[in-house]
Amino acid sequence: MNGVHDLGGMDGMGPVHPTAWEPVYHAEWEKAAFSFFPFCARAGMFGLDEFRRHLEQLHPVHYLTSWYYEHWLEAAEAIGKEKGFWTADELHERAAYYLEYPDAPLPPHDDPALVEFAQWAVENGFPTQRESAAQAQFSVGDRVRIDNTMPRRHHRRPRYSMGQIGEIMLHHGTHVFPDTTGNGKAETSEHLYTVKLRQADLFGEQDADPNACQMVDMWEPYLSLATEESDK
Amino acid sequence: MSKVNLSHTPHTDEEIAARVKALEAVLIEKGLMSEAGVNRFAEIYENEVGPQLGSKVVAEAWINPEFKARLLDNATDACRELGIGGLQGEHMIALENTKDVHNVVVCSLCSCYPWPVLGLPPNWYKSMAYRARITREPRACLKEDFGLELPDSVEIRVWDSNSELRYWMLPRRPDGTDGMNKEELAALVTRDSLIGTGLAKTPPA
Repeated sequence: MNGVHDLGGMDGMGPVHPTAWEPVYHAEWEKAAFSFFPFCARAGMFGLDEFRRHLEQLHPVHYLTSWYYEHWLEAAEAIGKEKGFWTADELHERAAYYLEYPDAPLPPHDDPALVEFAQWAVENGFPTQRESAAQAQFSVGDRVRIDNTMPRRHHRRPRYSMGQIGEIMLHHGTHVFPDTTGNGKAETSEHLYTVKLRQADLFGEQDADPNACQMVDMWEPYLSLATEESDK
Repeated sequence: MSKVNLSHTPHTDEEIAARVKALEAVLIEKGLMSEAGVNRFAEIYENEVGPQLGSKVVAEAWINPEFKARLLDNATDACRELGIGGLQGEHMIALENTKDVHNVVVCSLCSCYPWPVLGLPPNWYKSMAYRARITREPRACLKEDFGLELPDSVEIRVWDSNSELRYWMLPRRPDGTDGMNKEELAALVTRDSLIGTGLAKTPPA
């Protein structure tokens, strides 16, 4: 997807305003907004890549001007609606009620399995490495070219990397491929590599830092061997 | 005259809070979520899982060369030895910052961050500015935004967390720390030194 989420290397976003310390949650509502993701995933509503695809579909103006957890809220609302867990009207009606009565209680529910799930999920996570008999097509040290196509679906090739040639620095075995799981298809896995790109190749000698590089992770289908003829 | 599409006008905090509560109520009624479950997640990342865990790992690596070798070889397994690991750190890679090579991590496409050693990311890490600039001009970004000035002779490597691998840094052990114990060393390790936007603190002379 050719979206606003793909920010790496973009100009005009201004300086960073780092904080020495900041609260984990900036508002009380962020606690639940954060928790939608793990609880909806537990319910089988979506996985991480599908969630990301919905974050990427937010309007650019909105994406750039809203809080991060608001994005999470909207992605969860949209996926549940798409999959028939609730309707837009149902959510609007309840939101109108809680806007008028912000202190009205939530419905009661105290299934201890949900608290145990929180503990379990934090401790164990959801590994994405998979066993595979597929032979790796590339080795550390190979020069590879990154696919430069722009499909209208979820993928994890940042715009700055498209069409670039770099060197494979690390090989990580096979991992879940976001181009399937992120697009409603059955999970597949692919060999995953880290590719080193020179700043000068990304931005041109004139503007680039001669002693800086960008490291980016690439699944095997994103790569082809850069032969001398295809090399620039 | 209307100049913008008003459907993108920012929402108020009250409106967002009401929408969050609405969705929470629906999920609770379906038995898929609970207030206690939300509170448990919140509590874990507010009080239990945060940069203090990454600091502990770094202090161990500074003191114990064998552990350091294991950490750089496989950070996920090495952290498990200390009871650290899990969600958003299923596959961790620790990168050593030296006087010749400085590594820094970003997630240009969303907000990926190694939760088991750093907790949930601060807002600036998820900000448009950081995600854009650290790739575009890392040396200037580190200097101007973070006060970290690296000479041109230091190679900067910017790691994009665009897969499920979670990168974080093993900062250099500061001079003048010989004989310090693990707790004293851990206190020198900052959140930013684990991200790569800073160095470990130097102990007072």
